Amino acid sequence: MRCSQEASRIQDYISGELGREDRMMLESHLSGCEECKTCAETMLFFRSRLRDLFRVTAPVELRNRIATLSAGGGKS
Amino acid sequence: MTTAVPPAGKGTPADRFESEVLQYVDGLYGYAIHLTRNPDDASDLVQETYARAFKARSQYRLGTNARAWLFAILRNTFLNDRRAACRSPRTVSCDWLDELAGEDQDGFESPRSPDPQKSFLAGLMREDIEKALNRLPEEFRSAVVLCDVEEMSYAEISQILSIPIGTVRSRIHRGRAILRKLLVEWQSAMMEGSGGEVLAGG
Ligand SMILES: [Zn+2]
Repeated sequence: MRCSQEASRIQDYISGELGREDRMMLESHLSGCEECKTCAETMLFFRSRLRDLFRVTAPVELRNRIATLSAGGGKS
Repeated sequence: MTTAVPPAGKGTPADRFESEVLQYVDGLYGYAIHLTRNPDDASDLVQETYARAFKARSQYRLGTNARAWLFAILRNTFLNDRRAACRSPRTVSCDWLDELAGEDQDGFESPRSPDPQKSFLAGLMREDIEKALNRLPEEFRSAVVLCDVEEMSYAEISQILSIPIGTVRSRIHRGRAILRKLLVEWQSAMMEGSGGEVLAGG
């Protein structure tokens, strides 16, 4: 099945790692192939879910500890 | 004498170093949580990373990739500490991974099934995904987290993990496939009422 070869290209696509030409080729395939399009959308969605769930802000207390380091350290 | 003297504290190499380096605290902390699985240990690890970075600032050339440099320090610190703590060698058996991921580099199981997953993915809890991530060997987990959460390029990740770009690529492809597979399997195990821990053997 030809489309199974697209799987790994779709992976690189959602990673933002396809060159311009490959990207355009894949996009034109996606526009005509429901299966691959769904696959790409699902993978993109999962990726954005990971990002939303796991992007964090460091605790203030940690920032303070680092600030102390940078003020005092460096030349020790 | 030229007039445009920058105000003290702006633009000196030391200050540029600090401002470059300090913008990654959040990202480093997030990555540290994935490695240590514990907020306190993560904070300590990030602090240690900065301590080392400040000490090694002479090795850092301004304008080069501060982010990759810091993330690499953090990961190496973590791996060294862990190696010191438990003397077990860090070998990774990939057989079960290959099995789990199915066809190497295949990003998805079967594109034929009409999107069984999107609503399922939307309902996934943080804890489930975290649990699945933690099943991945460190190198796979790191590759996926750095790519999908921190949105780094394969080249940057290859620098951090000290592995070739092709390996980064396959770690990410397989890591993602395994994650999805685990999550789908847990889900169907739960729907069959078997409690979800069918895979706990590993
Ligand atoms: Zn297709």
